[in-house]
Amino acid sequence: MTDEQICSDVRHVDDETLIVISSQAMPPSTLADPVAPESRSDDVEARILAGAMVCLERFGVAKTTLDDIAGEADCSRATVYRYFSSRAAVVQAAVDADIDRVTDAIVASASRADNLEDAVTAMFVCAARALVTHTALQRALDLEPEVVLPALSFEGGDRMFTEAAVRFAPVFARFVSPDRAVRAAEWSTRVLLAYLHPDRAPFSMTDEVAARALVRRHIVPAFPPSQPLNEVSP
Amino acid sequence: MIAPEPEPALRDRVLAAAYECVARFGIAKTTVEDVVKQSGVSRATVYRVFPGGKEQLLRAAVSWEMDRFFLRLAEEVVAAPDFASMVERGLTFAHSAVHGHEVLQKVLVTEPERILPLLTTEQERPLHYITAFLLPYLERERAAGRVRDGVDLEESADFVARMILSLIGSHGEWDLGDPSAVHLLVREHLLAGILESGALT
Repeated sequence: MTDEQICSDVRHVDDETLIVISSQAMPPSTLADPVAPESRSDDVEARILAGAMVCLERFGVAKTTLDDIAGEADCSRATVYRYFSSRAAVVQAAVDADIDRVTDAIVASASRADNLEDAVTAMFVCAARALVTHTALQRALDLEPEVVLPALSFEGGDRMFTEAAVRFAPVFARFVSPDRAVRAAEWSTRVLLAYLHPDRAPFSMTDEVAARALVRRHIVPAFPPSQPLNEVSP
Repeated sequence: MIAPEPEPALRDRVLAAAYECVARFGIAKTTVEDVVKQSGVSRATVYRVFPGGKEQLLRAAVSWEMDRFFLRLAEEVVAAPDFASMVERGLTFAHSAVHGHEVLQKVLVTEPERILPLLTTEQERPLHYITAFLLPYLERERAAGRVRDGVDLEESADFVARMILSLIGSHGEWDLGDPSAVHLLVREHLLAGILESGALT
């Protein structure tokens, strides 16, 4: 699948928002690793995960049942339990898989950029497009914000920014020093999220011209090329 | 929100009482009756001022405490010598004030699913408040020749306000209790596109 396809695919979401769902959907005690897959199991497992995502779009996080997921994946409850220890574990795994795909898409969207401005602009637009068209996420934000928000704010937000910084740092490492790359990734994620709320944003980040103006004004000057890492100015 | 406020003092008394009840009982367990008792205002009056009942009352109480928080923040930074120092002071103060805010920290632990949607829906107010607060100080920086060419001051005030709110809510890897980290954050990143380098040293 190409970047563009992923970015316009309603089933996907940007990294930050998926981390939101993934870290919030289940209490940690219910998280579990999938059981070891058997031979030819990849298809079944992928079908279960895709089915779970369809259910999240349709029913939301709280109301999706294991039966719903099994039905959508066209398999039995027992089969689902062979791969996942609980409903919570399936949902978690489905969201995690989505995070990985979308993170990859956002990183890939910047792959042809040869300067920081182009790279961050491409990432912002890709992430915003993925977000605003993401049915499961938008549904959760509208109808069960209490499920999503704890992972976006305060300590959940701390974890999200840290995670996003690590995932996006490779893009920035092409344009700034490695230490600054993590910081630039964190900062850029922050800027993106600060402008994403539909009611409060002065413009849509899906608009490349507007996104580029923001990046050029506020992000590029903050991370000049080849500037030595300067922890504390005198 | 309610239409014209004939009795702001009365409204304040009810909101202070609602806040006190949330501090004591939490959001879920606070009732309008509790607020009536705590405020000494009659039930009929509480409902006249807050016809939406408990939900409207709690929403207004969250706004009320947010306003108080940002007023304290404004008082804290108003004497700063320049824009960059002001933002530094504001971030440092806001960070410690949020972490030291007993009621907020308590409900974040006990009832995150109730407080976070309330905080989020009320967030537009502080955004506008901070933006409006910052703008004259940016204008002063421009008059002193310290703003970079081509900067739209309103856009920049909005940007800084958004980032301040982001950092107050989640500091991430930034240690906002460390003045040198805040110095770096503000001068190398937050204001790098807005102020001339001479204003950032």
